[in-house]
Amino acid sequence: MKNFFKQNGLWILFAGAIVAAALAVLSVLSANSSPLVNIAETITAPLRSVSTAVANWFNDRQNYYRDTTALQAENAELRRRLAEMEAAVRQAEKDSAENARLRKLLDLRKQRRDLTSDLEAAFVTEHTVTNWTSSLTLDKGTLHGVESGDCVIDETGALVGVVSACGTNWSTVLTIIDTDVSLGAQVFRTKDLGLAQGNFSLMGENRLRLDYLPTECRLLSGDLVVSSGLGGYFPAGLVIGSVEEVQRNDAGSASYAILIPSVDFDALEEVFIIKSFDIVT
Amino acid sequence: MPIRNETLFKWSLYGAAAALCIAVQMALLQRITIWGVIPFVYPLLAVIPATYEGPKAGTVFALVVGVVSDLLLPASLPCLYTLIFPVAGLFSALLAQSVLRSGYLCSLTGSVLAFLLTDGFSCLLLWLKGTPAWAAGGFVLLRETCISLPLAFPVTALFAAVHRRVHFYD
Repeated sequence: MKNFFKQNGLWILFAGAIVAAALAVLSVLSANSSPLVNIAETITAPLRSVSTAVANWFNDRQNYYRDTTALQAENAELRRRLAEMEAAVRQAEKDSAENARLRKLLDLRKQRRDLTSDLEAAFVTEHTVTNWTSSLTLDKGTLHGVESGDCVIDETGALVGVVSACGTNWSTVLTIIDTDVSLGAQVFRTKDLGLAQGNFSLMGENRLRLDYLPTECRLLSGDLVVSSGLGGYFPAGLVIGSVEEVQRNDAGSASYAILIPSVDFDALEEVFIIKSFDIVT
Repeated sequence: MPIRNETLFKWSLYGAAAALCIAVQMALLQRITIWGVIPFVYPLLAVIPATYEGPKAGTVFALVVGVVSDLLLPASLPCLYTLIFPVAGLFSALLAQSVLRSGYLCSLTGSVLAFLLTDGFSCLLLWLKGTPAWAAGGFVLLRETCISLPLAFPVTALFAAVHRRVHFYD
């Protein structure tokens, strides 16, 4: 090899010079790349494409991993914020409902000055517990000034029932449809007096009876019945319910009405206990 | 184990089983209404242990269950369950002693008897108050018994296990 270059080196150099000169001339004359460059680029183009594709694939994988990690973190953050917002919405709904109840109560206090603002708000902790009574258990008791016999109303001023027993921080309310509850009532339109009392045959249907009505009474379905306040045990004018139908007893000597209470006892959540009231004459 | 400790252990175990049933009633059953009535487990607690423990002990246990029920439940008479449950317990114990062997069938029969006595007495009280409701009361009795009787199976299994445990060496 050494001898070959010694013997032919000049010729090789000369040939290289000729080729270089020819390439230079072709480069000048050609509008595109030189043929040698073109050949080299043509040969290496597929390799370049493959290497670029491989590099791109790796870049994609890397980006995918980075994006996935970022998305997962973002998703977790969004989920947390969504849960917070849902909790806030729930709280807002609860607050709105409470606000509406308190607004109604404020109106009630303005309308009913005899209630002397001595109302105790209480939450219902338990609904009816046996099949023979209709009762509610409240979260307020003697600690809050509640006593047996206190009247319980809802936010609209409709009568719920009467406190039958109370302890330190609880009280049991018998609803107006319970068989042990009876109170003086008056039909708002006709001023007829009667005795509203629970009846076991009607308790299952959420109804009560208005007894001892005068035989000549002319009640209509839908007539409003309120507490009469006679005797001073309950405030007058508390809404008991409305007349569903009027019937006569078996002897035909007296009428009685079946009443639909204004309160949906199963849906009650918050009630107000009337701890004291002024007797209006 | 000395006899006194054995007795204490036995009734503590029966008491714990009854307390468990009452907790299930308060936490779950009384929030469910099926066919218009709430499943009612208290009468079962008065009669089922009595079928295993005999008339004397069973009646006393039923009396305690009655007192607890009166403390926990509103009723038209303050001592309604205290009056009725010992009678139901006594009858069930006598039934187990002389007619049927203690077990599921005896518990079911005793439970029906307990519901008959409890709801029958409630109907009687309504009649005495001048507001008779025999038909409505009977319908409630029927529904309450039908809905509550399936509970006699787990309650019997529980008290049978307690009975086996406390009478292991008998």
